Amino acid sequence: MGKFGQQKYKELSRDHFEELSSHYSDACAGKYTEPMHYDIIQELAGRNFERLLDVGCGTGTFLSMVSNKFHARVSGIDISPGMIERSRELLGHRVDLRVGDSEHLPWEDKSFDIITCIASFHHYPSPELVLREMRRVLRSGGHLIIADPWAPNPFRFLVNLVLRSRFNSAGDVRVYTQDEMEELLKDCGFTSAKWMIKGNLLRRYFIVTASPGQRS
Amino acid sequence: MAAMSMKMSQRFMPPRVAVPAMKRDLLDILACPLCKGDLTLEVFEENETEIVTGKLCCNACKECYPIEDSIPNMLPPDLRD
Repeated sequence: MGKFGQQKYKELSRDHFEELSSHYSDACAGKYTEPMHYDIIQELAGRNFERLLDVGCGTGTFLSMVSNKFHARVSGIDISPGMIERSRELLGHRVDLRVGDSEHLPWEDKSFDIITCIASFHHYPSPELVLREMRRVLRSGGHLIIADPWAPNPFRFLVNLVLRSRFNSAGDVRVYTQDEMEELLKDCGFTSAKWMIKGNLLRRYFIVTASPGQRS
Repeated sequence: MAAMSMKMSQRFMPPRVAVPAMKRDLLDILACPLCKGDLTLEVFEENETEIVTGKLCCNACKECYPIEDSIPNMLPPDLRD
């Protein structure tokens, strides 16, 4: 954990994305996430799923791609009301959209076949709580796919140093390593993680796929 | 025979007043974000397609979540404002 308390990170993230919500797709962050969407659509191709949840769905562009390409019922949640409004404008009432906190998902156990989390995970002050909630609402045999910014050392070290300083105003928590992600997933009851590094030199990201393990 | 077929087909036709899609979605797999209890929906305003304003209240912990502009706000109370 960095400089702030858990609540402060959430408030910073919410306020940052409220401000970005009117022009997110044109902003640097929106450009960064676009290739992640295409990669995850490719990951989904050939999989059989009925319900998909996108955690940190932002303006809804990924959900729009999913509903255009697959016959699935899709849900989205975001901490920023402004982002959910943009999603609503894009998707209409055909999609289940909620303003909410990823640590407290408002769905019943085992509601989804697929959960995606695109460029949102590094905003979570308690990633274990989020992963346990994701596992709760994921059906056995389902898949969790997380895409998030990645950087090799020493850049990762420097970025994480800045994120722990007072210059962090967007609510980012940290850039994770493969070992950190795999340990987090394992601790929260996920197995069979598949890890990929994607993107170009300046905009790298990882995609990790995991499934819920046997419940203890 | 024709009259009978007509009656049979009418029996399997969807009801004329459709249940708003949003309402079905909301009640389908809904749970309280805090305690995971069942939620009860109270509608203040709805149109043909969705619930415009209303609230969702947890039967277990009694926390209520507003629906405004057709969007349910399921944030815990301390993050809502």
